[in-house]
Amino acid sequence: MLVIDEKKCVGCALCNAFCPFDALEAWGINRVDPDKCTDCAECIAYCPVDALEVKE
Amino acid sequence: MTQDKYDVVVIGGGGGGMTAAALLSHAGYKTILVEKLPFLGGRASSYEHKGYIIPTGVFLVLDSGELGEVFKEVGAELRVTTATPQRVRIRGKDFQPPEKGQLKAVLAAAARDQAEADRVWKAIKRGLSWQPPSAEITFTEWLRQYTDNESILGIWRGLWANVVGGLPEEIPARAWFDLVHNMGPAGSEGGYPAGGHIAVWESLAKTVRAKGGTIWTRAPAQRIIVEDGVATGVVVRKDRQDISIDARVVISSALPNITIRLAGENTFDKGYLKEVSGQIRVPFFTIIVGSNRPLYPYAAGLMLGEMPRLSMLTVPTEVYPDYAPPGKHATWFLSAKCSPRHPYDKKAELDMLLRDIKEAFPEYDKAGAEVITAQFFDGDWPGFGAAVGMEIECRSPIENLYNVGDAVTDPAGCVPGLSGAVHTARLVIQDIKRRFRPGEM
Repeated sequence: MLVIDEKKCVGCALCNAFCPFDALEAWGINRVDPDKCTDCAECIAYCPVDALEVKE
Repeated sequence: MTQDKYDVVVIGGGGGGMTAAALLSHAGYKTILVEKLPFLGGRASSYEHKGYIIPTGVFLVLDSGELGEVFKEVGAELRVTTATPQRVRIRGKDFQPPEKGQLKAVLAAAARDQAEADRVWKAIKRGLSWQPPSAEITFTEWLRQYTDNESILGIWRGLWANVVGGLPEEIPARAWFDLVHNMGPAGSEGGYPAGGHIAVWESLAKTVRAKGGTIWTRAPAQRIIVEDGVATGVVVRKDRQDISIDARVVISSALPNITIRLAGENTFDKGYLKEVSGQIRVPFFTIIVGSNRPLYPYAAGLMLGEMPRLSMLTVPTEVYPDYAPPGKHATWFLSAKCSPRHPYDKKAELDMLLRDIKEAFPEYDKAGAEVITAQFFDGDWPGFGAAVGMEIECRSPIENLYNVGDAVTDPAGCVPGLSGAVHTARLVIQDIKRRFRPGEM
């Protein structure tokens, strides 16, 4: 499951733009829609502040 | 762990790192640049989203000045269409500044009468040509000695936001005068690169590769190797493998606090750690809007000092329609009016910015406008790497480890933002050229 560390997240919206499933929403801080997210982890590569992680 | 050997390894493919890698490869140094993200350009780049070109930070790129000189030096192609001067909204009316004498003209437009305009202008000229004001008071305190006109103060609210970020009521009075000395009285000069900002960095990357240099993306540095107070390489993760790169020099275009984390705190001088941990990063945030009709049909856009949040907008589709999908228009809105010194509520700030946008452009709904994305820049992904006067030097206490970027500076005078990143990279490369020859390393 994709987890966003809200303390680290800046809200730059890069993950949102590069999510292939449109599962992230950014308005200041990011939210993940668990119904759309497939845990593909592509967003993790685009996070400049290491705020994203897929946890078992 | 495999081994590779280079003259120089550059950490980070932002404006500073890319400039450094291009200049080094061009001068014959065996160079590798490693970037954590999948794209180059850091906070001065762009990407595509919903058919729009979205900036990753920087709105306007200067093709004159140091970036242009770097491109000339290395023989890379830079296509930027200049779109200045920016208009200034004063008490609800838009003022078009002349090509020359912009500040004086804007001042005259904001003043209640000629006597007020003359009084402020004389004080500014004296500060520039005779003695800058003391750093003991803020810019606002200084200006209020000459005027209580909120529209005149608004000019600097807009200017600060665009050029260095932060608030004139928090910045030492002399900082603005020092900046003018270092970079001229420019507001937000610049333009749009053909193909988006990413094209600027891909052009430099092409040069690096043509000269035998190496660039890796999706390759986060894991640590900087330090032996006996000297940097000797970097460990990089690529394709799930840790690769050790030996190098004579390490240049980091990551923020100084991240550079410290990579090299290990215990390897640094205590005073340096204190300087870096005291740095204040300057936030800003943006809303990128798409619409069926242009919201403001002027490419260089508008500076707005007098609104609560909105400080600037630019209109790239007036120059390059392909910054938006066919039939659509893009307007980029910036707010750089939160204090970097106090906490704030990000969602509330964006709500306020959107309210400002709709107030400034009542035709928002009729033009079919919609938010394409909203971005925050702060912390380790900041609007500006350091509040004015808090930049540190490029050399670090670890021998052969340099920082470049917008959180470090030339001791001879600070240049902010992307220009500062390019400037510090040039300084560092000069220093390296003085100390080592390619291949001798």
